Amino acid sequence: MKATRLTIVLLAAMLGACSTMDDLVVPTSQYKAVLDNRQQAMDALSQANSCCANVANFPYTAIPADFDSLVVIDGSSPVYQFADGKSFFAAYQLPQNSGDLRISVAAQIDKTVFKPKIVMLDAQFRVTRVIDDSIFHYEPQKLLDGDRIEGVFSVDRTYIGNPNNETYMILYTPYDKLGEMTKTISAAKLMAKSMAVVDPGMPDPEIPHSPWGLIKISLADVSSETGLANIFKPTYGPQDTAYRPKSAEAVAAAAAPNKLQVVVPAELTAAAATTATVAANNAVVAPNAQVVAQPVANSSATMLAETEQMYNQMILQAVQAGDIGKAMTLAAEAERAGSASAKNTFIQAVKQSQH
Amino acid sequence: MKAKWLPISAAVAMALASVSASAVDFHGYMRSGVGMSDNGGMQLLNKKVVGRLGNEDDTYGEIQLGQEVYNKAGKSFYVDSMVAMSSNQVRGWENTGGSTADFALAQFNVQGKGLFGGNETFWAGKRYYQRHDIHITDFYYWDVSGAGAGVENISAGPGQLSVAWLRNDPWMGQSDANTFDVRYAGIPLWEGAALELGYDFVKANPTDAQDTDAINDGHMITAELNASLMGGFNKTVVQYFIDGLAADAVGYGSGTGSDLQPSADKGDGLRLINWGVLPLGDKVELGHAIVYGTCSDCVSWGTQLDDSDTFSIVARPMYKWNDVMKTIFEGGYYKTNVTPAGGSETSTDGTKFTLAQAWSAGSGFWARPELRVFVSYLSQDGAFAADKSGTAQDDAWNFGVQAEAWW
Repeated sequence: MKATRLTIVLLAAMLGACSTMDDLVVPTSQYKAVLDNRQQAMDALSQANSCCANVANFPYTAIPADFDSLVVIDGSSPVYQFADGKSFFAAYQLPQNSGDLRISVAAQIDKTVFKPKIVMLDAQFRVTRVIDDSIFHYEPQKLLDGDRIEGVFSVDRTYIGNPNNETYMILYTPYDKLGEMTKTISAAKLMAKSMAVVDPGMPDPEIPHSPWGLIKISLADVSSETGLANIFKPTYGPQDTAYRPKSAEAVAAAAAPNKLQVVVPAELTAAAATTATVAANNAVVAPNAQVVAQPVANSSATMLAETEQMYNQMILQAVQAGDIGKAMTLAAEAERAGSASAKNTFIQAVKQSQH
Repeated sequence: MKAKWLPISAAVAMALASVSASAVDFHGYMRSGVGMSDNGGMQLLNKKVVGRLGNEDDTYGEIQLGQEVYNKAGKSFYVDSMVAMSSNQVRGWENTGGSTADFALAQFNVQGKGLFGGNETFWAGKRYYQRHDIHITDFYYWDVSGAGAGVENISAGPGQLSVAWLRNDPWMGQSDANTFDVRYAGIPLWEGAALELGYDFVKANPTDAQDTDAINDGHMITAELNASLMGGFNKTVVQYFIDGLAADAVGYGSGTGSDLQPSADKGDGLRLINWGVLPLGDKVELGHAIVYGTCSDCVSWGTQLDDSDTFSIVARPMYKWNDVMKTIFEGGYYKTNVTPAGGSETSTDGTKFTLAQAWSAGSGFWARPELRVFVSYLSQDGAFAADKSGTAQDDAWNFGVQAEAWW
C-alpha cells in the first residue's frame, strides 16, 4: 500500500504537465475561437468591406523558399469581392530567385474548416492558375497529422526573371461553398482500418465550411532535393534588366516576351470584368465585381469536325470501358489540338457512367 | 458548368489512383509500457470482463503492409500482410527463443475486387476476417479469422452478402475443423441504423483415426443491430450457440473453430451484448460494454457443465481538458456462476477501477497515439500474489505508464 500514496503523488505531479504534446500536433486548440464559431465568422464577413480596388493592390507578404507556417485567417484578415464571392484572404509574394517550388497548403479541420482555393498570378498580376477541388482534397488524420483539406502543387522557376513566372499566391474560400460541408472519415473507421476490425459504425462527421480558418502553408525548394549542387541559374533576359516585381501600372506598359506562349489571361481589373465573364471556363462572376478570371484555354487552333467527332467517340468509349485515365489523356490531347467539345464530352460521359 | 467539376474531380482522383501504382499502405498497432503493483510486477484480471485500461502489462505490436498491385477496368488486386509480435515486457531483450516473446503470421492474403463484374471481393489466404470487437475490453465477440478463402461484399438486395471458408483447428485437439461463415450486413432499418445477420458452422473434420470418438460440430448465430446515436454509436448483439460452441457464450469466445469442444454432443448458449461509444457534449465521451452469457449442458474446455452464466459491465468515461489531454476513468465488474455436471454452483466476481491521465494526438475517444499514466485498483478473492505468510491476496494496486498507437 505504500506504493499507492507514491502513485497518487506522481499522478498529481503529471497532471500539471499538460502542454507537452501540444508541440507535436497542429495546435488547433490555440485557435479554437477561429475554428469554433462559424456564425461569428459569417457575420464578420458580411460586415467587412473590400480592402482593395484590384488584386494589384493586395497586401502581399513576401515569403522565403523555406516558409513553413500556420496561417490564421480571421476577422483581422483582409477581404475582397472575388469572382465567386466575398472572402477573407491571405496574399503572398513567392520567392523569385529560388529553384522550382513545391507548395503544400493544408486547411486544418476542427469544428469548421476553411475550404481553400488558390489563385496564382504572374508578375503582371495576370491569372496563371486557379487551384481548387481538382487539387485540394480531404486527407484523413494519421498519427500526428489531423484531418485536413490539403493540396500540393509546384511552381516553375526554370527561368528566373521570366515575368510570366508565378509570382503571387492568393488564398481565399469561395463564397458559394460556405453553405456546404466536407465529409470526413470517422476516427473509429480509421481505427478499424488500422486494427483490421469491422468499422464499429460511428457516423462520419460533416464539417461546415467557414470564412475563417487555420491553414498550414509549407514551401520547399525542390531543386535543392534533386542532388544538384553548385548549379548556375541563368536569369531570363539580360542580366542588367533582370526582373523585379513591379507595380501593375509599370508592368502593363511593358509587353514582356513570353517563354511559354501559354496564357492569354484576362486582366484582373474591373474594366476587364465583362470580357472575363465569357472566358472559356465560364467562371461565375458576381455582377459589378472585380474579377478573378479562370485561365483561358491556351489554343486558338480549330479542328476538323470529323476529327473532333472521332476524339469524342474515343473519349466516350474509354469512359465506358472504365479507363478514365485514357479518357482524360484523350480529352486533353483533343483540346490541345483545338477541340471545343472534348472536355464536355468527357464530363458528360463520366456523369453517365456514374448512373 | 461549375457543378460539372465535381464529377470531374472525382474522376481525376480515380484516374490518378488507377494510373500510378498506389503506394504501400502502412498500418499498424502497438501498446507497451511499464508498470508495477504493490506486490511485485503488475497484477491483472481478465481484461475481457473488467476492461483493459491500466490492466495490461505486455508489449504487443502489429505491422500491416498492403498494396494495390493492379487496377484496371474496374478490376483490382490487393496484397495484404501482417505480422504480430508480443512479449511479456519484463526486460529489454525478449526473443522468441527465450519464450517470453512470440511472433505470429497474422495475415498474408490477396484480395481481388470486381473480378466477377460486381463490387465483390474474392480473397484467399490468412486474414483477419471481418472481426467484431469491443475495443475497451479487447473482446472479439465474432472472429473466425484464420487461413481461408471467400467472397465478400456481394450486393444482394438491400445489404451485402459475404461467404467464407476458414480453418481453425480446435485448441482441444481431437479433430481438425473447418468454419463456414455466412454474413448479411448493412440491412437498413431506420435512419442511421443497420442490422447484420450471420451464421457460423464449425464442422469437425476428423481423420479416420480420430473419428473413433464421438466428434461433434458447433454453431453460432449472430444478429447485430448498430445505431448511430448523437455522433456516436450503440450496438446490441444477440448470439446463440449450439453444441460444440455452446460454452463460447460464457467463455467470451468468438465462434471460431479453435473454440470447438468436439466432445460436446449437446448444449445451448445465449449471449447478449450492448456496447458503444457516446459523446456527451463537447467535453465528455463515454465508452461502455455490457455482456451477459449463459449456457446449459455445455462443455467448457473439456469440463461438462450443467449450466453456467456470466455478467460483466465496463464503463470508460473520459473528460477532455483540451485537444491533447484527458482524464479517463474505467470501472469494471463481473460475476460468473458455474455448475459442473452433478456438482454445486461456484461463483467468482471481480472489480477494477482505473484512473488515468492521458495525452493524445487529438481529444477524441479514438485519438492515438496516447500516453497514459494510470493507477488501478483490482479486487477478486484470492486472485493476487501471496504475502509473506503465503496467503494469496484479494486485491492489488497497479501503477504504470502505457503508450498505445495505431496508424
